[in-house]
Amino acid sequence: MRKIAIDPVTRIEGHARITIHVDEAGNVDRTQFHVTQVRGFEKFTEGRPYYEMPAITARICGICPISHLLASAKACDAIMAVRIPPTAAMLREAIHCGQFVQSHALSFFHLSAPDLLLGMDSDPAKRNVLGLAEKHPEIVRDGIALRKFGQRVIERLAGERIHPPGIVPGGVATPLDSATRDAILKELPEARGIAWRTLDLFKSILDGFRPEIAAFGDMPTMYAGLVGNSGELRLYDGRIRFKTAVGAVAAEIDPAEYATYIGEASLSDSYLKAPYFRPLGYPAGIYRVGPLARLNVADRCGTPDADTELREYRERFGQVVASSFHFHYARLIEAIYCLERLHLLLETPAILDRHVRARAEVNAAEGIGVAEAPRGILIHHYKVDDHGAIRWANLIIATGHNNLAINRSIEQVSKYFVKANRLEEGMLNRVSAVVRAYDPCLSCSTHAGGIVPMRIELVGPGGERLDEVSSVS
Amino acid sequence: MSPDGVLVVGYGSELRGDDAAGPRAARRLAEYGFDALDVHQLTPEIAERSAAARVVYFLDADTGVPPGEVSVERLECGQFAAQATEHHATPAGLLHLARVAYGAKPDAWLVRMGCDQFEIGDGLSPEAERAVSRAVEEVLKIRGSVTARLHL
Repeated sequence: MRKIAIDPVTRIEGHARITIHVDEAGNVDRTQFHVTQVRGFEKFTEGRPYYEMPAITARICGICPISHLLASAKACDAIMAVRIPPTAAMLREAIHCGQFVQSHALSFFHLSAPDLLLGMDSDPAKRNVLGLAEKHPEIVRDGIALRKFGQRVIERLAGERIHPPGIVPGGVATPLDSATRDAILKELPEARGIAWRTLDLFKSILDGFRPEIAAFGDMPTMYAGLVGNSGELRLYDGRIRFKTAVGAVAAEIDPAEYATYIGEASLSDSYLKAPYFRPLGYPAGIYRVGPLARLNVADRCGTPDADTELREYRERFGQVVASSFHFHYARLIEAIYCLERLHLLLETPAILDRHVRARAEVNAAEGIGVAEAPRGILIHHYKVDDHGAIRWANLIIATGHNNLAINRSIEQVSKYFVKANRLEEGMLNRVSAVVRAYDPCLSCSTHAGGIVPMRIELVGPGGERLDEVSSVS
Repeated sequence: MSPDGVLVVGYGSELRGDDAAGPRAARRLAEYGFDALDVHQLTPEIAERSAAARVVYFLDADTGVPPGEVSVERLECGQFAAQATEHHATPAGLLHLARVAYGAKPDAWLVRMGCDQFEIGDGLSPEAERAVSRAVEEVLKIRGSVTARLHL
């Protein structure tokens, strides 16, 4: 048996390594995705006051801090046993929409568009945002503009672009004024135009990726995501719905019941745990989260334009879309949904109400907060003492839910494209690209920092390393 | 953008000791009326801001410069910066992006401040404080000469 290693994996957030074991004939036998960083927020927050948790845990990530702020603040709401003012919930959701837009823009334009628009086999030295700008400057301008729009929504509604102080236990820190609302509304049409153009562009190139669609994690798994009372897509709140591989509802639960349905397996060769659907056990309980899963579990999006796109998506690929390549497609539909939701929220007069924060002391010893992060379900669970000091914390991060699926997707794409002992760069890139389709945030998932490079290693039957390709020297 | 079209971009982590020299210098220059960004790291969005500027100063802590000293170099934007591919970028990469995506070619300088204390913490070493002061002086000096040259 020989071994190939991809270390580090590039154009993802966090640090990862992929190992591919090949037999003597050069065929792939098995693969492993290793997350090689560890953070430890659950441990070092012990003893901190609960109300500090949103600000502390937001520092887990610079891409999706809003999701951590929201899940953490919701856990704190539960500890205070308060129902936050309706306007606060609307503002939190509006901020969340801004985050989804900027994060999805980052994933599509900056990280995956080089593969999709320049080609999986294009010159790796130019297969990045700069190379993309040379060939398609208008697309890069769109990407920058859309991301900037999302960041400005966060900045305007929550105070800062990256780690804003505006989301707090009990609601939000400040009410919205009409001038700020109008400024966002004025910029919305341009952002929606970009989202539409990008989705149209993506749909026009999709037929060129049939091999990738067939091999990028096209497999039966369960799916999980938040849904509203009428089965519509929800990102800020809702119930967790689990669906089977054929689209049957396996469970629909109050997020506070998560521990009954989600188990976490520890893996010997990765810092990233592997959550699974507990009733089916490990690893049979494999499920996916994130854009692909959310559109699979929801009955509909609940906004007109996104629902139109969802219908076309399902007509093209079925009611349950299995290939992880379609995370990209689902992500772009969600960008349209978020811009529609943002418009709807800002047009609601009550969003200018001045009552935006509930205040209380510790009224419960335990709190669970759940929201959808751009990459999937995010769970913050805290236990506190009588004074509100954290005694125990558990964070289940979106990327973690996808750990088993990412592993299987890597194996599928490797078996499809890796046929020889000698690595081809395009093969390396496709193995990395399937990881990028999930848009993993590994810094979040294990709580470690840094930019994410990748490495692929080829190892022989005796365990000898035959070849290695690295994205950084 | 400030009326004279000058942009200052100071970058670095404010939680890693002297790495905060860039953001600190940017804030200091903002007091002199500069349009200044103090950021954790460079990102592609800054290319758009740079493209709208006539002159851009990038300020960064650097272990390759003696502690307390400052190195100033003119940046060229003609080179393809392949390393600028992730969630961060380099000054040269951003200038390249400003050129190819926006057709802009601002004058640009990289001001490297000699620092050597990068442990976790939010204070600058005395050497880094000195480098920040010198960097501010250098930028003010360059602005004077550029202003004269561009007849701003």
